[in-house]
Amino acid sequence: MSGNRRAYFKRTLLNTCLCLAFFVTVNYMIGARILNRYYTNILNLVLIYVVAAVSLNLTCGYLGQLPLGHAGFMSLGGYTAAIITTRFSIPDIGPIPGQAVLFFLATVAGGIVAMIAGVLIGLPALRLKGDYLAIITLAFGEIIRVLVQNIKITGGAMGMGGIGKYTNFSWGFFWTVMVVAFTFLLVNSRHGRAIKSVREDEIAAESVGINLTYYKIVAFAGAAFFAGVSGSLFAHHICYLEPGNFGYNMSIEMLVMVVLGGLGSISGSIIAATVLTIVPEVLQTFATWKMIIYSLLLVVVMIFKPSGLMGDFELSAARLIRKIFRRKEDVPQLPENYTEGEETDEQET
Amino acid sequence: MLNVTNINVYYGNIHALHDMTFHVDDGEIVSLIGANGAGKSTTLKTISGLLRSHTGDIEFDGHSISRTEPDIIVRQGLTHVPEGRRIFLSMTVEENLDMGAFTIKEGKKKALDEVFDRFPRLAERRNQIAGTLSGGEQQMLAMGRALMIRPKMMMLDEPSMGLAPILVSQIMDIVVELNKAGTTILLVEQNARMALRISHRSYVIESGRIVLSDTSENLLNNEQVKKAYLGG
Repeated sequence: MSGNRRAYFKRTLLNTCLCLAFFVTVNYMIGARILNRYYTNILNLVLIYVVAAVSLNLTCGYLGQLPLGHAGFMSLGGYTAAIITTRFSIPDIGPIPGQAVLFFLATVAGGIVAMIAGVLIGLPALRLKGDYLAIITLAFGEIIRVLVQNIKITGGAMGMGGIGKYTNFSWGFFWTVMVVAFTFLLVNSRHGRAIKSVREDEIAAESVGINLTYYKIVAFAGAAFFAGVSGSLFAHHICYLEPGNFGYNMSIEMLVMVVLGGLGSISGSIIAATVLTIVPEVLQTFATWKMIIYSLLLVVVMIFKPSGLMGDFELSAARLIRKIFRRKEDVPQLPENYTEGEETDEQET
Repeated sequence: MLNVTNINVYYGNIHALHDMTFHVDDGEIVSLIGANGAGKSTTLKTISGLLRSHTGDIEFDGHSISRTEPDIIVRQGLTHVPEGRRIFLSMTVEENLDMGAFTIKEGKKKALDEVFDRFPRLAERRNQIAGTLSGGEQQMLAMGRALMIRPKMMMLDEPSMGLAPILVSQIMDIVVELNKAGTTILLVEQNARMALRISHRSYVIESGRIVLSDTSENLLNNEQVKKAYLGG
């Protein structure tokens, strides 16, 4: 047991170090203008989509449901946070800038509003399966869009301007680490096994004493929270919100990222979100062909790798290092069934 | 141990169980036999809380469980080995057993050892993916998973389904052993002969009604049962 704990501690330490190293390097590159404004913008957008995709993977990949209303939660989070940051201000507290505190609190508030909506919609919707859940969540997304279009505080169809550009690499990275850590710790815990067993077989899960509704709601609400966070980051990235930002197209796009990356793989979602955000940018030069190439890419991946880029495999820094060292020292192979899921946060670039 | 009184269960408009009343005493093996679609599985699902009865009451170990959530019923020591085994196919044998112990915090290790003692085959294959086990091994795993909480009572739904005759008798031997070790058993079987041989008492179900109930020995010699379920 203590050996396990030590290995766990080592891995955590390793991943934390790698995260920090990545963060410091990229921050330096931004500071030194090695990454110009345009690239930094794309990088931030990548991180925003990573937060959304990884959270969606929780309901899609691990819980095995098919929700199509992720954009609705992002919308709720985005508008909530934007309303807070545009109406309130917090004075600086010593060295801590008040604006950063406000942005953090607004983002958390956005997440919580989305989470509450997630629980409310989840309670009736999660009793349904497959197509029915997809339709209900799709309708939910549209209801949010129409609501936002017709109430005053969100600026209605005119949209909502004057949102501060608070999202930067640090915030994006912070929330990415949060969502990855949350998802990773959750799915590898006792509760995570319960969530995965619901995906495997609901009757079996129930027969071993797992409360289906509870675990479905937990996964759904967790995903909704981070969708809200992602919405807030998005709002403070583009600085102008209009209801059309969060249409069902956005939900589908998120779903594509999750499926392409691999259902049940955090690394997969990160990679797919990165690729699918960067590819359209790269293809800007071939404007006419952009959508065709993008779609073809999806078709090709789905034909040749239906389980997604990563399947349910996770990248692991610890495993990689062990592999390298094993080759050097020629340590005997670990038993075939030796499994270990380990997740690093370094796949964004 | 288990008292089922007057339950009526519907699937939409279809009346699946009619005024069913039966009981299982402490330490017994009781079997429910009947043809396909007679309502045997429905009965088990209703007891374990997956389906609800509109009327009557189900009492387990002195408490009414007819309105209790399925996960709470498991915590009270009544487990259900569902039809078709329903193991977690992509998990390993050990992970499956670990899921079985989901509701308990202590004594997992000991329970695991006990299950491995009872099913040495599972111990050999503890790290194998459950989907690659043979049918008989999967049935053992399903039973092992249910045993992880050391249930007071176990409900087995068609444990012989799809198994070779030799495996069927092995599984039935295990059921008898479990019972001797103190687990009360409610067995649902299409293989009526097997079920009647190992159980103390039996109920014959037809179209959602109990039509006969007696000791299994008497039912084995009952002309009507012989004709309908034992092949003459």
